[in-house]
Amino acid sequence: MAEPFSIASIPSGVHEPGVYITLRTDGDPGLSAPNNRCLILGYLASGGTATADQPIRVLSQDQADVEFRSYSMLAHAYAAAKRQVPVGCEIWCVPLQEPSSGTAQVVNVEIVGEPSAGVVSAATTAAAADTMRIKYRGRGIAVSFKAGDAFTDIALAAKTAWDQFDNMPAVCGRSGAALTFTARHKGAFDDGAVEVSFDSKGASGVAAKLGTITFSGTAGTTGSATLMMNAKSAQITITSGDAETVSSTGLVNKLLTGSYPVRAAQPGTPTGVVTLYYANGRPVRPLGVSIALTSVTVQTATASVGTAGAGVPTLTAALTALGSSDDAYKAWSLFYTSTSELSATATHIETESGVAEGMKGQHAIFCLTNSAAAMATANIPTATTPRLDSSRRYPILWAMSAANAGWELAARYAAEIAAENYVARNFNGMQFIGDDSAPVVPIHPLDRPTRGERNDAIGLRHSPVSVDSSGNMAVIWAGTSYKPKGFKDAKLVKLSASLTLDYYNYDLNNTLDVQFRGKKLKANSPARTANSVTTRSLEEAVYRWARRLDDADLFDGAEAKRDAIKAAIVVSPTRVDVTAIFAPLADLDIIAVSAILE
Amino acid sequence: MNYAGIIPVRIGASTAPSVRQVQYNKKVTTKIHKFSDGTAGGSEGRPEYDWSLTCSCDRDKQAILDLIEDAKATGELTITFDIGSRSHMLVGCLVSGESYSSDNDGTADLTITGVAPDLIRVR
Repeated sequence: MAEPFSIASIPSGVHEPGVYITLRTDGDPGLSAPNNRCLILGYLASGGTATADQPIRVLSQDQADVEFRSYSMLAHAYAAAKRQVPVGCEIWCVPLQEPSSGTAQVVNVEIVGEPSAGVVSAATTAAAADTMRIKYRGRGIAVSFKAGDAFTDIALAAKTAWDQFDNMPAVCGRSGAALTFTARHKGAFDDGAVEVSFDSKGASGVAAKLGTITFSGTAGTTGSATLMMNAKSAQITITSGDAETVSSTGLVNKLLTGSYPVRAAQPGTPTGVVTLYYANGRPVRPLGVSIALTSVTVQTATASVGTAGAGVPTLTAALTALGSSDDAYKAWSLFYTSTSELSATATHIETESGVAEGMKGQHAIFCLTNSAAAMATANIPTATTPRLDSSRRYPILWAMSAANAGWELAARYAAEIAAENYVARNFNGMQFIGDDSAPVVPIHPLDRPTRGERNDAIGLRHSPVSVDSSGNMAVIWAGTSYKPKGFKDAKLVKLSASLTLDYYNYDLNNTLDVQFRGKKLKANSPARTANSVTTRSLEEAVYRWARRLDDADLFDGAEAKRDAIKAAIVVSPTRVDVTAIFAPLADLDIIAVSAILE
Repeated sequence: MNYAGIIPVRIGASTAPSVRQVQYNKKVTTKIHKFSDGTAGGSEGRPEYDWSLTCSCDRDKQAILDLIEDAKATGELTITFDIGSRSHMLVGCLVSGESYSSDNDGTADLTITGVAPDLIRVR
């Protein structure tokens, strides 16, 4: 042949008539498929009527509440997706059983006296009337109390208010003035932040205790202690010979000097135990609070901030069920971020993206809420097998310190992607939408990622989420985990390009199938009747398809690529190979103005 | 020098059967602007196209009509003409007329006429 010709890579054993499209990033082409379905994976609660591991289309919140239970992860994820896109996408859910041998996360909120200048209060009653608000993932209650009310009564009132709602995100327990909030499901998953606020901002003499840090022993060497509070940290120096009371005093004084996500106090006569308090109006993940000593010997520091969730979902049956169907879901929302489970999911999606599987064209979304340092250390795009940075199908959101659970944001993103009519939409700036029943909580101003951190995240192939200029949570850069090989495939780092390629696959498949299904192929003379076609008509059809997409701003430069479209019979008499150019539009991300001063 | 003697026609991807005569016309409205200072200029509008296919009537059925119906049903009626080594495709075609005629002396014709908003070169 005169021109270079690419042979599509179809696995052996494919005999079924149809259109098979292969996307190549090493020279020209690629593959995909669009629809308006999103798929939300999550835990269902005991008593839900849904069959575990089987995808189910959910049409209403009422249905979700019955199928999964109103307080379940899936019911809340569905609510989030529907708030984002009330109409326009099909929402499918895959209910998973929580790990039976796992542990449910427990966080503490104890009603105590408001500390003064770093010293704990011994009070047991409120000094003045006030209103306390407890929010868990933005959902919560408010209870008012009057002067003289015992802390145990305030806790009781809070539990009573909490228990009035069936769909609260955690189970509230009480012992005296201490409240516990147990996650609705066992397992190690992000369950959002807790915020405890008092309208008087402490003037009522009432505060909420989060946990403690206990120093023990005398430091044998000089070093430091670092208190991690999700994305923030506070570090103190511990000098050799420092007793535990010196270290605890140092930590309390350190936290008094700045605005941190937690506050601290200790007894007037220090004991080495530091009490941590919720900071007014500042959501925090209690289990994201930890302490680490560096180079310090003998002395120890221990955080007591609740019980971490443990356990991961078993995906085998669910993935098998999804794989056994021809149905494709444009965007998946995942709640797990563990390497092995992400690897299993990626393996499944990559397999389903193969030519023989009809190239389902699916993207899996998950959202991290950890610190910039933790995100960089985990570097998930390189940690899985297969590596996520080898594929364009994994938009990874990074919403540092978001009060919402990561899976709530992922569900919203998946719904938005599935519902979008303009398949090449640049999702930069996409806002997350919520309401009172499925709130979206803006990240606290002091906890938002800096510009540098956002840039670092993009460099690590994460899509940062923060608060935009209008005060709404938004996707700052809508990318994928893909690491390009060069300039040619650099567009694939953007979600829009990946979605566009999927649409190409879907649309070209339909276009050619309609025109050529059932035809005979004439190789050596012109077609004389409507019963047969030639390779030339196939080339024309592909070009016409590209022109049509070009007119819809879905293809960049069809006319210039006309002569590159070639069709030939080279592999077998019943197969025509076509080389075509897939040219999605690039996102306009950066406008760089070089201004001349005059 | 060789000259084209026939213009093969396709409806969608399929060869249009029994077509005996093909024609498409490009029409552009042009206007000369004459100015009072003695100068003049010209302008032209967007082109539009009309086409016609004259077919011999088959005894049993008019397959070309089925092709046109199928093309419409599946999205878009395109008509492609091969002129030499180049191919031109009328896209978004609309059928504006359909007529049968016979001279009762051995010839029966089906003439299909229409318009199209655009013509693209596909090869």
